[in-house]
Amino acid sequence: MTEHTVDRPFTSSPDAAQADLGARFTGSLHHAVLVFLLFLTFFPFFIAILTSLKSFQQLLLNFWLPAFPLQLQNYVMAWNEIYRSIINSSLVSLGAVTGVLLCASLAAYAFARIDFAWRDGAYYLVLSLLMIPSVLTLIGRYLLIVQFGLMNSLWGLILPYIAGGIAFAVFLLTGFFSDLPEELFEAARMDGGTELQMYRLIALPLSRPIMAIVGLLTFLSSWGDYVWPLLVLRSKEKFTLMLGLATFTGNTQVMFGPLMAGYVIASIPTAIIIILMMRTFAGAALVGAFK
Amino acid sequence: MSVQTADADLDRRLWGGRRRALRRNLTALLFLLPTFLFLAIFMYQPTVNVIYHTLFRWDGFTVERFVGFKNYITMVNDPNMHVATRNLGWFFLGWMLQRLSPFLVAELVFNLKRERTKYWYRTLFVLPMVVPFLVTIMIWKFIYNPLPKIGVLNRMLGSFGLEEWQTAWLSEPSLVILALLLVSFPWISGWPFMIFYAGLQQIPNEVLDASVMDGCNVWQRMVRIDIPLVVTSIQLVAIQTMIGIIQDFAFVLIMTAGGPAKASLVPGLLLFMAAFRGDQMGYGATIGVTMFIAIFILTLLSFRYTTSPFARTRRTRET
Repeated sequence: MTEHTVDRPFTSSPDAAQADLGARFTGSLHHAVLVFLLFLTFFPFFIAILTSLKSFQQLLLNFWLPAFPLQLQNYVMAWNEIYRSIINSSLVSLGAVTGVLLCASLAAYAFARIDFAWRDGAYYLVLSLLMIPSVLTLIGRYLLIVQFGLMNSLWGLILPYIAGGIAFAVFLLTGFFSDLPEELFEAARMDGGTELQMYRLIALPLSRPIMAIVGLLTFLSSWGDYVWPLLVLRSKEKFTLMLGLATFTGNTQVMFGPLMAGYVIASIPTAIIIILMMRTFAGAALVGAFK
Repeated sequence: MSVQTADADLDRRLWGGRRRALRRNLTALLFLLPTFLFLAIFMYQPTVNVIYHTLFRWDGFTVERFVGFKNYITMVNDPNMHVATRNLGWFFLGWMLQRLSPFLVAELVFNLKRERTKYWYRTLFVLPMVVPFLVTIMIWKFIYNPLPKIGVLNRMLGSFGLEEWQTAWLSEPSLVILALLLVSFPWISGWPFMIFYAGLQQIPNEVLDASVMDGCNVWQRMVRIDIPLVVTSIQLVAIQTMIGIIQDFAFVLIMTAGGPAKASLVPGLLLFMAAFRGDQMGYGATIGVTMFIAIFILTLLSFRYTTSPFARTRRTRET
């Protein structure tokens, strides 16, 4: 490879020149294809942001370009419509993330670090849940929520979300905890540390990145869920964000500006969290975890 | 003191006798208790409950009559189920292509020369992932809006002078599935792209250099080297996609609710309608169990199919 680049300035044969031209041509074609794909990828979002800043009249007259004056009151209107549901969604997601991290890390610690009877059996009992599609348990969970009197309550979302996230979280965390060096635990055991202390003071502090990933996955899946809140929640003041957005659509045909403003607002919390996590996210961490 | 007793003594101090084992078991039990409490209540119980009640005519609460396999027979003969299964077949093909096609884009980015350019393309391609999926679908609903002046697609056709092509994309039985499959075109941003790219990055540099030395062109390298070496990533994406396609119906529910008529109905949506809009919990449960069995069999099959090339690449890698 280096040989090639050193060679190039001295070549004067038409053959080499042509090859060079060809390479440059395929190079720019390469970029052209990628840029075009990027354009297509972002196009719907551009249109959504443009539309969020227009009144209905402006939308009719000038569809493809920004129209002035910008209708910032669309955002005020959208915010008033959905802020309640953003609070609800935040409560639900935080509850789910806390619950999953707490339960799953305790269980994973036991599976990875404590040598107890029926360990493999219990572990496979948890893992077997990964095979069960959520649509199968949908009916059963719904009946439970009705029986527990949790209909139209945020707890009716949080508790099943915790249960639904645990299996995968245990799977990821057990793998991680097993890879921690045994010497650390050995030393703590010599000093008379209890398992709970080792979990709290060794395992947890060392597993922040993987905990962050598990937390993020739980957050995103609970934040973006639509079907379960649709079944459980009845009154508008309990609605989660996705449900709030869906009903916002139904109001009137003419509200495209505020509607798109609502979509933009709804993307901000996930955007902030994902960008904050980029460092953990980037690289092979997530993918390594999937394998 | 003999060596053996010293060993036994050490053993007892480290691992203890029966009482230590009992304590370990109890500790483990306490660690596992919250998890199993949640799983027992919200996972195991509903699963067993649902499977059991496929044998009943059941509204979930009061009506409960044993009917044997009648629900399964009804399902096999249900014309709605036939339509839903056929639609699912189309969605299956389309979405599988969709989720695997980012591999080509990952190749395009991976084959760029400068690390910085690669980094920027990669970041930009995954950036739309910050938008919640539901928001993306709703924006696409706006794109497909039937009004000629409002729907993005219709408006675009209008500005090219193709007014006669303008239509209600989601209300046209012959178009609706195609329209749904085209949602979020060109389908790049998402975790398949990230997984494929990470897979490509893990190919050892020596292998890539060797392919250049041997005069491989890009296409040959992709088919002969890259695909066999990232086959696990491809398998992972394919299986996840398959499981997702069979059970997810939120997308169709939001976009068309299965309509127009039943042109975009899928089994998951049929389950939802039967159980929660028609009080036929037993029948809904039957569809759910069938979907579970289908997913289970397809997962096993795909593992079987993909193990052999995987094993082969493993061997070549080791030698």
